[in-house]
Amino acid sequence: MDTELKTVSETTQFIVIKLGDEQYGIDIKYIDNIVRMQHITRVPKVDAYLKGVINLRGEVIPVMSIRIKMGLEPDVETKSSRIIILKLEQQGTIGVIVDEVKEVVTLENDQIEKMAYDSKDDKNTFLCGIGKCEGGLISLLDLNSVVLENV
Amino acid sequence: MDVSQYLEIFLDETSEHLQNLNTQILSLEQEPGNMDTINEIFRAAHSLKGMAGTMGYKRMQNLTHDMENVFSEVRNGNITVKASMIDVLFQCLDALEEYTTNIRENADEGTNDNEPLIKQLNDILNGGDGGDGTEAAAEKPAEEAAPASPADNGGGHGDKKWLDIKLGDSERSVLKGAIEEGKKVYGLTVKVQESCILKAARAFLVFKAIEETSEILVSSPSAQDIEDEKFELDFSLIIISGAELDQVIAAAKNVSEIEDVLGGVVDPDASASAEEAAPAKAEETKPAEAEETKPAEAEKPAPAAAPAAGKPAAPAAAAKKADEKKPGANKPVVNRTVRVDIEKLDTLMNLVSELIIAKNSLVSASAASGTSSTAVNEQIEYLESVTTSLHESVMKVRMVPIESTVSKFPRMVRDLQKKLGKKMELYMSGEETELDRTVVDEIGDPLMHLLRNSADHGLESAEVRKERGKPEVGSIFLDAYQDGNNVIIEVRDDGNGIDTEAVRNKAIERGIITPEQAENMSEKDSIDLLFHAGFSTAKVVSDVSGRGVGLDVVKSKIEALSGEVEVKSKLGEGSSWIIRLPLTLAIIQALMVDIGNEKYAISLGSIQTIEDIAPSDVKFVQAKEVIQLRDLVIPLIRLNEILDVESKKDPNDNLVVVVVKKGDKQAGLVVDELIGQQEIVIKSLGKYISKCKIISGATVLGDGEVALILDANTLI
Repeated sequence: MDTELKTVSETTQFIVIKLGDEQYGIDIKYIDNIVRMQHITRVPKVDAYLKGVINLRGEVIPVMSIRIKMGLEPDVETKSSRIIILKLEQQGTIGVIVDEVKEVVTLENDQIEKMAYDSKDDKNTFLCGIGKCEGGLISLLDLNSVVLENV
Repeated sequence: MDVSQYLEIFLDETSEHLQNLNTQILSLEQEPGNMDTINEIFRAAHSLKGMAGTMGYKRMQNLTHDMENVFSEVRNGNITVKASMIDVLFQCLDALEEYTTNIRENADEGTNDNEPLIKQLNDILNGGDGGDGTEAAAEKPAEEAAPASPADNGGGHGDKKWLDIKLGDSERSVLKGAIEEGKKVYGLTVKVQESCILKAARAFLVFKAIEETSEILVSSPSAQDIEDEKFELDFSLIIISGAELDQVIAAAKNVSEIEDVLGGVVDPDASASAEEAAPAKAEETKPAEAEETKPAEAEKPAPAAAPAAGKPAAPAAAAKKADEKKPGANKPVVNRTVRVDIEKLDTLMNLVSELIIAKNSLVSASAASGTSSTAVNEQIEYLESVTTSLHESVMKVRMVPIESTVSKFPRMVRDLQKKLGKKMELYMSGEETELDRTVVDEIGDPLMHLLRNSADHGLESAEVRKERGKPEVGSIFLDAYQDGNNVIIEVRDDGNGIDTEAVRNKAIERGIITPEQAENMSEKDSIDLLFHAGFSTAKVVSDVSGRGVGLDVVKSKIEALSGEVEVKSKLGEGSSWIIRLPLTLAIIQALMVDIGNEKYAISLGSIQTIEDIAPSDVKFVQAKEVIQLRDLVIPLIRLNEILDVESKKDPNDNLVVVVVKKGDKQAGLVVDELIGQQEIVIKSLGKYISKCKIISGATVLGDGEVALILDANTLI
C-alpha cells in the first residue's frame, strides 16, 4: 500500500465510510460497487467475521464484517448500512459491511500521513495512513490486512 | 512470417499427431506388415514435419524428417519392421513430445538436437539399404531442396511444366521402385481456366481424381501452396500410376473448369543423370533435353472428349490415400468440426446458467403474484423445456470422449513392461465414454498413477504368477462407462491384490496409526490408509511408483473434480480402483430442503431415498443415532446440529430423513422439511470462504437468494 500511495501521481480518491463514530477511507480503485444491505446467506463453520454470501447479479460473493474483524461491536443493520464490494487482486471479490457511506474525497498526497513502519507490526491497526481534510481526520484502511484471513 | 498466432493450433495438432503415431506404432508392433498402419504413420510423421517446418522448429523438423525417411523405406518394402526399430521410434516420439512441451512452455523447442536418435534412424535406413551409407545423409538435403524450390515457371518447357520439377534422391528411388513394380511414372501439368474462382477447390478435385488411379509423388507448387491457392493458373505433378496416361489425363480433365491437362512419361534415371550432369544453373533446361529424347507419348494430347467415366465421391480408402500422398494436405476432406476455445464454451455455459436462474425467478415470481393464468404457466413450462434442452446441448458440446486421454496408456504400459520386467497387457473398453472437457483434461494423471500402481504393486512377476497358477501375462483393465448421472472409470488388475496386513504394518511404521488402532481396523479402513499422504508400500522406491506421492494425489485430484475413488481388493486375486465422476460440474438436479430458517440443496445424484421416520424408531448404537431401513443400519446425521441452526420442528414429529450414499456407505440426513426438486446452477463460494468442507458450493434461487449446496460425500 505504501508504495502504491507514493506512486499514485498527485492525488488519491477515497470513499469515506463510517464505522461507529469513526471515519475511514477506502481507496477508490479497489471498489467495484456499493450495494444496499440485503439478505446474507450464512455459511456454517467459518470465522465469525465472515457473515456469509450474497447474490450480486448472479455472482455469489462472500461478505465480511469489518467491525467484527477489527474487534468492534457487531454490526447493527440500519437504513444507511451498505455493503461495499471490493475487488482485490489476491482474494478476488469480497463485500464488506459498513455503517454508512458518506462521500468521496480527493486527497493530495501531502494530506496523507503515512503510518510509521513500526505500527505495521501491530496487527490490530488495519490502517495504512491518516488523511486530513476539511471533514476532519480519516483513517485510511489497509484493505489487505482487513481482508487477510485469520491464521 | 509471424506464426505465433498459429502456435495454439500447432500445439493442438502436434499432440494429436503424436498420439496418433503412438497408437499406430503400437499396432505396427503387433502386425508389422500392415500397410494401412505404415501409411498412416508416414502421413502423421509427414504432417508433423510440415507443421514444425512452417513454425520454424528446425530440430523438430529434422527429427521428423528422418523418421519419415524410415517410414518411406518401410512403405516401399526396403526395410522390414523390427523390434529394435520400434524402440527407436518410440524414443523419437518421446523426443518430439519433449520439443512440444518446450514449445508449449517457452515457445521454443529447446536445444536438444537428439543426434543419437537421428543417427539410429539413419542406421536403420542404411541397414535397409544394404549398407549404402551415403544415401541417408544425402537424402535429407536433397528432399529439402525439392520443396524449397518449387515451381519454376520460367523454365523453358512451355506448357509442359512438369519437366521443371526437380526430384530428390528419395523420390527418384521411389520412382525406380515403382517402375520395377511395373507401374508407370507420368508428369502432368494441369491448367485451370482463367475464369475459375475456386482454383484450390478445382485443384483438389483434380488431385482426388488422379489419386483414384495413381499416387501423387511430387507437386509443384507444393500441395500446401496449391491448397492455399498460391499458384497462378497451372500446377504440375509427378505421379506413379498403374493406369494408362490417357486415363489419368481424362480423369483430371473431367473436373470442371479445367482448361487443359498435359502429360508425359517421366524417366527418373534420365532426369537424375541430367541433374547430376548439370548441377548448378542449367538444371532447368537439362532435364528437358533428356525428356525430349523420350517417346512421343509425352506429346500425346489428352483426348478432348473425356470418357464418361464420371468420378463420384471417392470411397473412404481413396480419401485416406489422398491424405497420405499429398504433402501437407492433412486436412480432412469434409471438415464437419470446429475448434472452439474452451473459454468461449465457458462463457456460453455461464449464460445458460444465467438463463436458468432467470427462468427460476420467473417461476417463483409467477407463483408469488398468485395470478396463475394458464397461458403464463404454459409459456413457463415451454421455457423450462427449452432451457433444459439448451443446457443439455451446451453440456454435450463440452463433452469429449475420454479417448484423447486414455489412448496414451497402451504405450505407457508397454514401456512399463520393459522397465519392470513383468509381462502385462492392458485391455481398455469404453474409450468413447464422454465427460466434460475440463474433467477429461484433469483425469489423465490420476489414471496414470493408478495404472502404474497396478503394474508396479499389483501385478506379480511372471514366476510368481506361474506358481500361483495364473497366466504369465498379467492383465490390467481400464473400463469406462456411464452410470446414471455419473461416469465410472475402473482400473482393474488380476495381480496380488492389496495385502491389508502389510498396509497396516507400514502405517504403524510410518506413525500414521497406532498398533492399537490397527487392531480394530476393518479391511476397508486399512485400504483407505493407502490414500494417506506420504504412504507407499513399495519395498524399493522405483521410478515407476512408490514415491509416496501417488494415491493421495489421485484422491485429492478426483475429489477436486467432485468425484470419488473406491477400492475393492481381494488378496491374491487382484484389486480394482473405481473412480466415480459427475457428468457435469455446472448445473445439477438437486433436492431443496429447509433446515431451520435456511435453505440447502442436496445433489439428487447422491440421494438414495427419502424416509419418514417416527422418533421412536431412532435407535442408538455406540451412543450414535441410527435407523434401521430394510435390513440396513444407517447412521443418522442431524443437519441442524452440524450446520449450527435451530430446528423449528417439534421433536415429537416424524423425522424427514434424506438417505444419501457414497459408494457402499449410507447415511440419513435429518432435515426439517422438503421443498422440492430443482435444477440448480453451481457457483463456487470462492477461495476466501473455502474453510467449510461440508458446503460444496452455492446457488442462486429464483427469488435471488443464495442457497448453499451440501456435499453429502463429506458428511458420510
